[in-house]
Amino acid sequence: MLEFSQMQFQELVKRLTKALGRDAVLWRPEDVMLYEYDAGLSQGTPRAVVLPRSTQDVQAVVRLAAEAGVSIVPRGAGTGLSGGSISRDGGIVMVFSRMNRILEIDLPNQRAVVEPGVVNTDLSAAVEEQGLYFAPDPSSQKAATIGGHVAENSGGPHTLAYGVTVNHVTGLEVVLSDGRVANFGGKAAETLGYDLAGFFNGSEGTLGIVTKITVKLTRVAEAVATLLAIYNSMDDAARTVVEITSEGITPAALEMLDGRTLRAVEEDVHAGYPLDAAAVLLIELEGLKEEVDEQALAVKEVCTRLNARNVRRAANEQERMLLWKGRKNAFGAIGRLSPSYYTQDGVVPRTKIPATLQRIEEISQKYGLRIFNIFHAGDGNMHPAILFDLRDPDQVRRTHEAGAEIIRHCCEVGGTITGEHGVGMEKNELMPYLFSNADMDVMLRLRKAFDPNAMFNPMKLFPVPRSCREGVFSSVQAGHSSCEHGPEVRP
Amino acid sequence: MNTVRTDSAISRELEAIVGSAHIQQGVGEVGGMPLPNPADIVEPGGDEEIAAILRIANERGLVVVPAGGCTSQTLGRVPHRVDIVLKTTRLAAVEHYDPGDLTIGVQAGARVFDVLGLVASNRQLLPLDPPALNARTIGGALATAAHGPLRHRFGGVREFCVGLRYVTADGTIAKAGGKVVKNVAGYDVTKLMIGSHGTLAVLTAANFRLFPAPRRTQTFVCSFESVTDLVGFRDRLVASPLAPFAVELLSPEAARSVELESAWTLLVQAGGSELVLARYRRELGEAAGRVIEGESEPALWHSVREHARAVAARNPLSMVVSVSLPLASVHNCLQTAQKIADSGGYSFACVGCAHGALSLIFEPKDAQSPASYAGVIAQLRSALPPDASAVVTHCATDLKNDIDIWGRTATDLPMMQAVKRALDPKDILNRGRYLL
Repeated sequence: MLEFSQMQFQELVKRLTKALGRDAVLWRPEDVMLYEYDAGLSQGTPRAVVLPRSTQDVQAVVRLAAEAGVSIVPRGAGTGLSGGSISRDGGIVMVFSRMNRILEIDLPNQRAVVEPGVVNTDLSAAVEEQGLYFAPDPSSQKAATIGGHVAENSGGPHTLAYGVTVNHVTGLEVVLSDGRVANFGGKAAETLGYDLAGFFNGSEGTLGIVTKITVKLTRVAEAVATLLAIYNSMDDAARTVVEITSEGITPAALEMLDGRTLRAVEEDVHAGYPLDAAAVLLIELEGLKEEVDEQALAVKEVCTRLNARNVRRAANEQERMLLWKGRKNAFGAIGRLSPSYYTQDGVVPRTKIPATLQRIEEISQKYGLRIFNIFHAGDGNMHPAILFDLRDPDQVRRTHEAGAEIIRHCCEVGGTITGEHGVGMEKNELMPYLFSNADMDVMLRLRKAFDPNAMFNPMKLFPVPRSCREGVFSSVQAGHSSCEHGPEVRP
Repeated sequence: MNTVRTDSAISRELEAIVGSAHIQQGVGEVGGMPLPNPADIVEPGGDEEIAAILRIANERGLVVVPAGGCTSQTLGRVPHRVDIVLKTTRLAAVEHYDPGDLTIGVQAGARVFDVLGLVASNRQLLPLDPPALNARTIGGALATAAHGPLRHRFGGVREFCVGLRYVTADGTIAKAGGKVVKNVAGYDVTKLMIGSHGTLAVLTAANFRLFPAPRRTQTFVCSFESVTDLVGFRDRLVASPLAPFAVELLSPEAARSVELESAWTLLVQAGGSELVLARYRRELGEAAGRVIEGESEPALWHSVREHARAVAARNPLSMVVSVSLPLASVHNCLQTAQKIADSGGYSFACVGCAHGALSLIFEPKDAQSPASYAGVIAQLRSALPPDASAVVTHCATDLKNDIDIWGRTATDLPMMQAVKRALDPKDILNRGRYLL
C-alpha cells in the first residue's frame, strides 16, 4: 500500500479544485465526515469528497486519482446496506448529487437516459402522465439513485414479477480506470457482443464509474389487487407461497411478515394488521382487470385452503397504500424497539422457507437475540432483522455470529448470501460460503481487466486478507490496496 | 492445405481422457461448417474431462470449438484453424428440479426440447423457444443467446438464466450466480457468458428461473395492407394494457410460407382464462381476422420459428440478417431493407419480434456477386441507428471472406477484448470466428 503524505494530499486537493471548482471538492474533516456512513452499519472516513457535474468532471477526477494512486468510491444517496459507498482506505468519495438530470425520455422506444444521481421516484414521476414508470422499487426508492441501483443491482418487493435493475438497464456510459469513456449497449433490448452492461450491473462500483444509464420504462398495469392473508401458523403462510404459483399465478409481489414484526408495525403505522397472528402474507396482483379479479379469487381460495383465518382485499387505493405503508415502514417500526438492528439479506429456494424460518428461530434462541422476519417470500429473499445494542460489544459479537449462521444456512440449502443488498464490506468475508476460490479467481481476473490497479472501491466484494484489514483499521492510509490481486484467493 | 492437423500424440492424449468411444479423429465438417483442417471431435463425460482437454489445448495453443447440438456452427467467420471440437452432448442430466422452487438446473448438453417437455409436465414454462429446439442444446442456446417469439414477453435468456457452471480456457472449473431467482453476490459472470459464442469458456451447466404455464393460449392473426399499417397497430398495442406472450411480425412472403394469408401479419399470442382471452379479442378488434388455437397453434409457431432456417436450407445462396434494434426503428428498418432488396435484385422477407429482433431474408433473384451481398449488408447497417446491430446469420460459406459478418456494436470493443484476454489469453476458444 502506498504511503500518502499530507503534502501529497494537499497537492491532490489543489488539482481536484482546479479541475472541478472550489465548491465541488470537500476535504475539511467536518465536511467529509458526513460521508462516513451509509444506511448499514459500516463506517469509513474519506480523505476527500468530490461532486462532479459532468462525465468530463468524472474523467478528470479518475485521471488525477490514478496519477496520485488514490482510490475512488462512487456514491449515490448513501442508502445502501452493505457499505458499498463507504471509503475503506481513506480515498475519494465521488458523490453524484449534481449529476441528477434526466437527459432524455424516449417514449417511442420506451427508454429514458439518465445521469447516475437521478432519484428512482423522480424518474417515475417524470413519465407518470404517459402511463409509464421505472420498475425497480427498493424500499429506499424515494431517496435512492439509479446509479446506486446499477452498482447494487437493486431489487424491491415487485422484482418477483418485474425483475431487478439489470432487467431494466439496456445501456451504460462508463468512465474506466484510465479515464477513458466507454459505452456498453444502447437502447436495443440486446446488443451484439459481450453483455458488458449486464455484467456491470451489481459490480458495486468496483469496475468503473457509471455516468449515463439507459433504462427501460414499464407500462403501469391496468389493475392491481392487494390482499392481506392472516395466519395462525407461519408454516401455513410459507406453504401458501409455493401453492400460489401452482395455480399458474405469478404475483407482482408476495411479502411475508411474522407475528413479532406485525405487532411492531401495527403499533407504529396502524396499517390494520392483526396483533395476535403468527404471520401475514401481503399479496399483490397486477395485470388486466379480468386477470386480476380472477387471480384474486384463486389466491383467496388457496389461502383459505391453507388455513388462513382471514383474507381481505384492499377495497380502494387508500387501503392498499396503508397495507403497503406497513410493509415499507416495517424496518422503521423495528427501529423503535431497539437501539440498533442488523438486517440480513440471504435467499433460499422457496420450498426451503419454512425450514429457514425454523432455523432462524433456533439461532435467535441460541444467541439470545430477538430476530424479526419480514421478507420477499415470493422469491425466497429473507430479511431477518437482528435486534441488538451497538454499545454492548458482546451483543455486537453475537449479532455478527448469528447473522453469519443464518447466511450459512441459506447457502447450505441452495441459496445465496445476498438477494439485493450487495456484498460490499459487510459480507465480503462470507463470499467463500458461496463461491470457491476458482469462482472468485475468475471474478478477480475480470476485475483486473477493468481496473488493473483496483482503484475503484477497493477492499469490497471479495475477502480481504488479514494483513490488509489491519492496515485499514489501524490508520487511514490512502493508496490502492494491493490486496485485491490474489493473496486472498488461492489458485 | 493443412498444416495444423492435430497430431496423433494429442489424439491419444484426448482419447485417454474421454475414452475411445468418445473421440472421432480427422473429421472435416461439423454442423454444416466445413473445417479448415481435419480435427478431432471429443465428447467428454463431465466437467473434469472438459477441464483436462482444455488444459492440454491451452498448453499447446490448440484451437477448440465448443459445440452442442451443432445447430449454429455455421454462424460467424470461417475459422482458419480448428484442432478440437468439444461436444457437450454427453452432459445432458437434470441436476436439480423441484417444481415448488420454480427453478431448474440442467447440464449444458441437454436438449432444449427435453427440458421444455419436463417442465411442461408440471404446468411450468421455460420461455426459451429458439429455432431448431429439437436439436439445440441448453449450452448452445446460451452461448448464442438464441431466442424465439417468447422473447417478447419474457426477454432473452439473460433475463431468466440465474446461474452457470463453466470451464475457462485454462481448465478452471467455476460457477457464477446460483440456483435462486434473486442473487447479487459477486460479479454476474452469467451475463458475460450468454451470447459470447463460446469464446470465453465452455459452458457445462445452467440454472433457470421457470414461470407458471398459462392454462390456455390463443394466437390472433392480424393482417395489414402495408408495413406502415402494421407498425401503427403495433404502436397502439404497445400503448394498451395488453401484455401478450408474443408479437411476431411476418412479411407477406413469410406469412404465405407458413400458410397464412399473404399480407403484412402480426401474430399476437395471449395466454390466460376465457375472460382474459375474450378481452384480447375485443381489444384487437377487427384486425384479428383469425384465431388459432388447439393443435394447430403450436404447429403454426413451429413454422414461424423455423422460417428463416427453412429458407436458408432451401436456398443456400440466400442471406439472413439478424437485426436487433430499438422499437421505434423497426419501421424504417423494414422499409429500407425492402428498398435495398428491390434495387439490388433480391426478394425480401422478414420474420421476428415486432419490437426489434428480426430476421431479414434476402434471396437473390439471379446469381449475385460477393460485392452485391456486401453492398446489401453495408447499406442496411448504414440505415440503422448506431446502437442497432445486424449480423449475417446465414450466407454461402464462400461469401464469408467477402462480407463483414458481424458488423458494428454499441459496446466498447477494447473492453470486450480485455475481457477475452482475461479468460482466454491464448485465444484458443473459437479463434477467428467471433466479432473480436
